[in-house]
Amino acid sequence: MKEVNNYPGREAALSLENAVKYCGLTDHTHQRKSMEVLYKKYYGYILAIILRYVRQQEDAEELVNESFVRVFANIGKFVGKGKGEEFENFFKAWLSKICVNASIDFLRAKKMSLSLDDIDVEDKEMPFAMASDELQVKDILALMNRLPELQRTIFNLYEVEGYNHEEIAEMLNIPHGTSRTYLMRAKKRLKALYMAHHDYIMLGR
Amino acid sequence: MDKKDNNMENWKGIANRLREHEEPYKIGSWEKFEADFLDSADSGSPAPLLQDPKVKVVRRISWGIWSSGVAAAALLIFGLIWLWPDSVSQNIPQDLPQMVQSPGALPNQGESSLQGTPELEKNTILGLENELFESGIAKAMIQASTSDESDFSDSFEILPPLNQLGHELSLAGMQAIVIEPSLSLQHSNSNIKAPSVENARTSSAMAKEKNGLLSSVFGNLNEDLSVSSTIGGDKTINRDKWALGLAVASMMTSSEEVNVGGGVSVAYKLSDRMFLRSGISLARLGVSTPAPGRQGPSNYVGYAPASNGSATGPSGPQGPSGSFKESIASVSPEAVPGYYTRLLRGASSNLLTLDVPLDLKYFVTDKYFTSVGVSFLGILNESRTNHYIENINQPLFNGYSANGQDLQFAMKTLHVNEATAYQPLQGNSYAGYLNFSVGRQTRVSNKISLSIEPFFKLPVGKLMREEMNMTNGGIRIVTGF
Repeated sequence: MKEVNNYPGREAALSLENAVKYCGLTDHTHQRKSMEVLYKKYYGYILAIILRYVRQQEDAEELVNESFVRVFANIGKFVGKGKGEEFENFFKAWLSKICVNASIDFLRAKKMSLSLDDIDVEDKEMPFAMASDELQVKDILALMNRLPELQRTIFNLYEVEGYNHEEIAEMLNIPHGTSRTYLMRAKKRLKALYMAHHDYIMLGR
Repeated sequence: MDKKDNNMENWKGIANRLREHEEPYKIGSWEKFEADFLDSADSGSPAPLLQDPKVKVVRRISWGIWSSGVAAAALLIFGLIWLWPDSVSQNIPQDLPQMVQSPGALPNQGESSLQGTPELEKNTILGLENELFESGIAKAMIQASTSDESDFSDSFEILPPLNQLGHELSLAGMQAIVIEPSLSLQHSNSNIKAPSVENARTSSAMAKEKNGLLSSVFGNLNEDLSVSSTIGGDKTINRDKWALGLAVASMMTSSEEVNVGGGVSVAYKLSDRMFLRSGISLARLGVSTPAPGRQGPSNYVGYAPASNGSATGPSGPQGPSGSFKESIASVSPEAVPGYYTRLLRGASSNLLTLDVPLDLKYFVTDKYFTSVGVSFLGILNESRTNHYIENINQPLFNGYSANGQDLQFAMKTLHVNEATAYQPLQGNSYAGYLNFSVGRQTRVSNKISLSIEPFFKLPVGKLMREEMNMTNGGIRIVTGF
C-alpha cells in the first residue's frame, strides 16, 4: 500500500485510499486533512496537465483550483480498483479527465480555440536546450505554446491523453475531419518551429 | 515507412515525457484554496463543499471587479438622471403597485402614496425614507408580494423578483444594470467519455482498460456533476462576459484646439467577436462657429461715434447726418469720419460635456476592432467668447484748413475677443453623435488589456443644427480589466 505521508513524525501515515475515502466523509476534521494531502500531492500533476492546454500561468493556477473543486465535490463517486499503485493510476486517470475537461471549458469560454489561424503568438527566442539531443519538457511546452489553441488542444487530446478523433470531435464540437486535419497541422508546425531554431531534424532521427 | 515509424515513436516519446512531467508545488496554494473555497463564515460548521457534493459552490468574485461594476453602473444612472431629470418625474406611474405593509411600519403612511392601494397584507415592504416614498421613485421600485402568511411585522425583507424590479425601474425612467453578485457552478458542456485506448500510455493498468471499465468510473460524471465549470455556464455571470475599462481621450474640434476627456466604459460580450459597449465620460470641448462666409446670428454689433465727437473733417459739408450717416457708416465706415464698426466674426465656446455612448464593437481579427454607435450628450457648462473685428477710423491729423491738406483717415483693424454671459448651450442634452472608431487591443497581462482607438464623432439631429460645429475626433486609450 502506497503511503502518503505529509506529516513527518506521525506514525500513522495517510494512504491514498484512505485519503480519498475520508474526503467523502462529513467529518470535517478528517475531511479537511485528507483534502490537504491530496491537494498538495497532486497539485503539480494537475498543473502540468493544464499547462499543456493553457498558456498563461495565472490561468492555469486558477484552473487547478477549479479542478480540485470538482474533484472534492465528486470524490464520493470515484470508484477505484486495486490497491497501491494500481489504485493511484485509476485516481490519476480520473483527475486527468477532470482537469482536461476544465481546461477545455476554459478555452471554450475564452473562445480562443476557435481561431483557425495563429493568434497573438509573438516571435520570441525560445529557450531551447541547444546542447541536448532530447527536448526537455519545458522546450516541448514552449513549442506547443506557439501552436494555435485548437491545434494544441487536439494534439494533447490525441497524443497525450489518448482520445481518438471521434471522441475529440465530440468533445470540442468540431467535425471529425477537422480533428485529423488539425492534428496533422499541429505536428507539421511543431516540426517547423523546431527546425526554425535548429539545423538538424528533430524527429527524423 | 521506417521514417514514419520513427516519427511515430518520437511522438510517443514526447507524449510520454509530457505525461510523466509534474510541476513543483507552489507554496501557499493550499492555504489560498482553503480560504477561497473551503472556509465558511461560521467557524464551527463545514463549508457547503464539504457537506454535500451536490450543493452548488458559490465562488467569490474579485471585489475589485464587483466594486468597479457597481461604480460604473452608479455613474451611468447618475448621468442619465442628470441629463433627463424631467423625464423621470413624468414617467412615475400614477397607479401605485400593490403595497404591502406591516402594521405601523412607517409613521407617514396613509398619505396619497398609499391611497387606493388594495388591502394590505401582513407582509413587509422595503424600508425606505419617506422622501423617497414621496418622490415616487421608491414607489416604482417597491413591490412586495408573497404568499407566505407568516408575520414579518418586525422585519423588512426585499421580496420583488429582479425582473419585476427592473421593470419598475424602467417605468421610473431609470436604467439599471443588474449584476448577479454570486456565481453558481454549472453543468459542464463537455461530453466526457472514456477514451478507447489503443496505444500504451503508461505501464499501469490504466493503459489496458477499455470503455467498459473507465465508463463505469466516468460514465455518470457528465450527468451528475453538480459542481462544474463556472466558465461557459449559461446561467452564471461569468466575469469574462463583462469588461470594464478606464478611458482617456484626446480630441480635436472645430476650434482646432486639443481637448482631453476621460471616463469609464463597460462592455458586454454578445458573442466571441461582438461586444455591446457603453459608459460615461467627461470631456472639455472647445467648439466654434463656422468660418466667416456662413451667416451667423449677427454680423454687425453696431457702430458708435468716436469719443471726440467734434467734426474734424474738411470744411464744407459735414457729411451725412442722422440715420443716413449711420447707414453709411455701417457699410463704409471710412466714409463717415469719426465712426467705427464692430463686426461679430464668430464665437467659440469651451464646453464641459457628459457623453454616454452606446456602441457595437466588433473584432475583425483577434486584435483589431471597429466600433459604431451613438452618443447621448449633455452640456454641463459653457464658457462662450465672442470674436469681433473692429474697424476704427483714426484721423491722422487735423488741420485741413491750416495746412491745406486733406484730412486723411486710416482704417485700423482690431481683433477683439470678449467673454459673454450668453450661454445658449449650457444645460442642453442631445441624442447626439454618431460614433465611428477603429482600434487595436493588446493584452498587457492576464487581467489587463490596452486598446488604442482613433475615433470620430459626427453630430446628428439637433446637435448638428446648433450654431457651433460640434464635430470632433481624436484618439482614445482604454485600459480594460
